[in-house]
Amino acid sequence: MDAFYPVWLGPQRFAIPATSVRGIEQVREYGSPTTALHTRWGRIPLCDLAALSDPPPRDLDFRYALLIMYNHAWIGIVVDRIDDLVSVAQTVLPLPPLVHDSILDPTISGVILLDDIPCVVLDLEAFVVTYWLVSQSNFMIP
Amino acid sequence: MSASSAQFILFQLSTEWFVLPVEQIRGIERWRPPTPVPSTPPAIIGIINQRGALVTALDIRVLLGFKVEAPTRRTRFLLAHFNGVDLALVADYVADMLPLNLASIKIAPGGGSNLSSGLIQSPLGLASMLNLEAVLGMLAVAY
Repeated sequence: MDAFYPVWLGPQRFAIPATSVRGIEQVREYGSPTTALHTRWGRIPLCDLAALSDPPPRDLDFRYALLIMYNHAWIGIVVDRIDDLVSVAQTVLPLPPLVHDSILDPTISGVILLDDIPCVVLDLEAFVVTYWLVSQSNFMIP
Repeated sequence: MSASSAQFILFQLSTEWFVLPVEQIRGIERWRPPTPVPSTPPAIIGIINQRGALVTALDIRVLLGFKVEAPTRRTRFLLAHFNGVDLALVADYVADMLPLNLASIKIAPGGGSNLSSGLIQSPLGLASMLNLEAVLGMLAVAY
């Protein structure tokens, strides 16, 4: 049995392996754009999962952050909603051929069926590398 | 059925009629929301669970540059199988199965290099024979 957190980004549900989640915090900030969470562990930078769909900037207030560890550092991945943990007997299914061939994004690691509906499984560490670390880097182009 | 005739499924994409050989169709299902997968080409609208198997849902209207209307009660998935790939093709309306005389099929200009490999006169109007090989080829170019 593997456990997953079903998380929502707008109308779409994704599944996050529970083993990669170290904690869940509500993001409660007002005013200027929220980029970090202040917790008992200190300041944790936030990264919006909506980067997957290349959205316009949005207000992160009153959303939820999945806390993960990447390279010995805390990072919060912001989602709209988190459902109760679910356990599934099935293994993660590979994407069907045409979809699999078209994706270069390592964030998408497969699919599980929740209530018989396909749900894309995300690798949050790969997401951090693909969408957050790149945006934080200052590349010097000669 | 004589050797010179074959069965085709007649369906509509936007206002245009298309046919596919019945050998390429495994079933017709009511439309249901597919699960979108990030980072895929726009024509790949997601995946559906078809009796335990994951099938790629494809909207050919996007490839054809047609206006994409919201699904209605008449919208269907044509479950196609081609070159080992299972596809759920969005159709605005699935009309009927047609027996056609193969000699009546007019080869499309360009020798089938676009998404249509021929034109036929159906009871509901002129219909293009969808070329699934070209569809898959166009998707391969897209990524």
